[in-house]
Amino acid sequence: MKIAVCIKQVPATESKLTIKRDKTDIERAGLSFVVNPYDEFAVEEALRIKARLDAGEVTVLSLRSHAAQKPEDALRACLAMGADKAIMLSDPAFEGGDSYVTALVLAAALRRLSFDLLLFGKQAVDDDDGAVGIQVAELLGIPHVGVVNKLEVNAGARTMLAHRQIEGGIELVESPLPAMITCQKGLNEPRYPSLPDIMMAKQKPLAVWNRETIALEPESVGAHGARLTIVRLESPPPRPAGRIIDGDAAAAVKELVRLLHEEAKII
Amino acid sequence: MKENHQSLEVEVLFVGGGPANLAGALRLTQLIAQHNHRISTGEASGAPLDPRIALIEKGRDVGAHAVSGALFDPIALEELLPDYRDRDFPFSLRVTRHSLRYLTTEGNLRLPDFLLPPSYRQQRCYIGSLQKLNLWLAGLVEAAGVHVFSDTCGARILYDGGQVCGVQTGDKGSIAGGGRKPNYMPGTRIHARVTVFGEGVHGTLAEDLIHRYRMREGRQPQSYALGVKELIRVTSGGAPGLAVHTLGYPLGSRVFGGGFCYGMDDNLFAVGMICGLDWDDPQMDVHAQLQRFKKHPYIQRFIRGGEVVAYGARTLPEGGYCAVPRPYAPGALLVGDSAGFLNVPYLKGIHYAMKSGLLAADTIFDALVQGHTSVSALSSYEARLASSYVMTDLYRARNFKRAFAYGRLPGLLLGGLTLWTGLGSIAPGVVREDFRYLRPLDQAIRNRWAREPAQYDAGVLADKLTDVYHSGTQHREDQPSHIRILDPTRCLTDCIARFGDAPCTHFCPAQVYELVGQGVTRRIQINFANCVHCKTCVIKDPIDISPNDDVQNIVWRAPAEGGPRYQGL
Repeated sequence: MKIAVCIKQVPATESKLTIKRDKTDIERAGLSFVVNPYDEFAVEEALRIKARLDAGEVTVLSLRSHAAQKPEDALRACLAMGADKAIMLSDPAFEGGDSYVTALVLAAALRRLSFDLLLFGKQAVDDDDGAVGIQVAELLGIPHVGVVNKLEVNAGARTMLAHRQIEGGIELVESPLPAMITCQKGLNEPRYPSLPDIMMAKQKPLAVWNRETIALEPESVGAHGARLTIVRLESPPPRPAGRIIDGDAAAAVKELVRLLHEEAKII
Repeated sequence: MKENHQSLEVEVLFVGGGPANLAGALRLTQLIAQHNHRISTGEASGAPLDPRIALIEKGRDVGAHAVSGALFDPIALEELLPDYRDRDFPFSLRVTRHSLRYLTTEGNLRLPDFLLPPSYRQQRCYIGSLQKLNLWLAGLVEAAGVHVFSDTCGARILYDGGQVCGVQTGDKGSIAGGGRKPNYMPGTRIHARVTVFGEGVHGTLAEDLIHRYRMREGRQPQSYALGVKELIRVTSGGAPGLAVHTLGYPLGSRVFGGGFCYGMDDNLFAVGMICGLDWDDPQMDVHAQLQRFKKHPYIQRFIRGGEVVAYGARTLPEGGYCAVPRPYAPGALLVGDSAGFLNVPYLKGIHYAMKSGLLAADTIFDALVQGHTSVSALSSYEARLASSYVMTDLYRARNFKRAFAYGRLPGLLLGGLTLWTGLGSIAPGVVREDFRYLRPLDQAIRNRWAREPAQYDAGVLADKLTDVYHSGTQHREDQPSHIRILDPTRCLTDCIARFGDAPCTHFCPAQVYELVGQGVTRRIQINFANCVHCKTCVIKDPIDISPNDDVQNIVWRAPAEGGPRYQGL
């Protein structure tokens, strides 16, 4: 079974983000980047499916959407986890796009690969769009199931059964392959790469594809092809300071109830 | 439970991704390339070398746990990479205005430059970030073929007979209480012919090594300082190139230390406070002193209206020449701050760290060429250090801090005199471990500023927890605590009873220690997830459990996962 996984390199979750002067983007210089945590579930799931079937190949793809990103580091991390090969989509023309052009580029690359299963994280934790995977499935004309927290693959019948957590229950969706799923927390616990595996990952193939490789017109990708324009980024308003009510418990509770009632007006 | 440890064989292992080891690893690859080139051209005989070299670093990226002022003297870098400026070197800003000032409550007095010996002037230095320097060096080291493993801590030293033979890395995916996550991965045993310990100040494994091989025998105990630093961004009015060092306010006359304020590009200021850990006051809190320092009118003129964007804290070795341990052991070398190569009056250690790394690389290269890495082959490292500026500079500065035992003003005069003249033997003789200087609250010499509670606001004055947030620190909440109190009852019966307060709740710059509960439930709670890995607690904890082994009540071992994620510090 051939499995393709699309990953994104995002700012480390504990990074302190600042908004650029022109307010249309965050300041990316000097940030640490990591593999998007939901994408790690996708890579891990692909590796487990391959291990269960004892056959197949896992290919990881990533698009450089900003000059400050180094997707090769993220791809090497996935190779160290156990993926077989990696493709980095990198071209100055790809930069500054939105989820639609990202999906367009990924779909164009995926058309050049053969795969039975396509995995994405359910969303990237930086822009939280959750839109790329679904658009890729649509562009490729394959079925998709979103926000999956358990996956059963039947290689012989070429079907899969995806479990989704829904309000008050679990929804089971069966689909023929090839298909796309987006991965949710709970699907698995991504492995730590071992030191020998990190060393071996340096020898694994990491191809760089540019716009010409995937035969897309310059005006259709990146900032030119984007359908969305970011008007302005704003920081959330600072949270006002909390208040500590002193005194013995009985009096403090009384005071708290009074404040909730009279000042906060929520009870 | 039987563990399935993977193993990895290397020739040389560098433990810690700081300037010493990064410079050392890069130098070693250069020497090997030159050697192989000479052989290929017939200039030299012998076999080409192709050793596998690895470097491990506990920060998630190299540099993530590195904090320094930092005024960077490029002397060692010029030796390592004469063309460093053409290799995307991350700093461009040099010191243009330097002053040393004495602060009173409101005023300030500039001390004349001529008081400073010429070698202590700062003009050749870059103003930069140690995190950025390390990250940049790591890129060069990796490109030179060294295997760099970040997010990988050394958990214990591996021995073969009497010889160090590598390091076992930390187990990942452990849960507090002995449990394991499904993705648990036991540490890797990295076997090496030579292991270089450059873990920074008071390294977990470096201290193990020093004790096992009695490397401090005949030396003075190391003395330390705690440095805390913030990056502050102002909306306008930056002062790139400014470097101010201060004495006086807000520190009492018995605290050895001072403040600094460096102007950087992008309207940033690096503002910090460094205090010798030999203070006597059980309520001394360097983080609070930094906030008081920031409120001083002289500092306010630079940072008013600004916003804290980053925070970090780390101890520094200040024992100087007399506290440098024997820097080698069978199969092992000690470099950088782990060995205490810091020049106190010059306020610098990075270039000494790098130089010690270069000398370690020279030593290892010779040993590899000769084909044996026995202790006799490695011991030449000590002689190389002794004839380099690392030890000659430290020798000249050896009495500076000790002169301050007489108090700040006599110390300044006497300390300055020792620098000008190189004279020794004028300072009091016995140096004790820093924690032994702590005194009961009612006997400690404090000053009126220290009694005023520090004031915080939402902008430029930050409380500790806000600053911890600015450090990017993260530990998994369910991971085992890397900090233990060996005998919690002694916190109450011994420590608080003797000192009138719990010093750890004050000296920790990240609010790891908290006194909670009342009466019988009273205890010290350890919020290990806040820990910025500065090591103050293991040094300053006053409860001596086993004096012969330097075991105090607080035990700090490097955790396999987590820590700060410094950005631009």
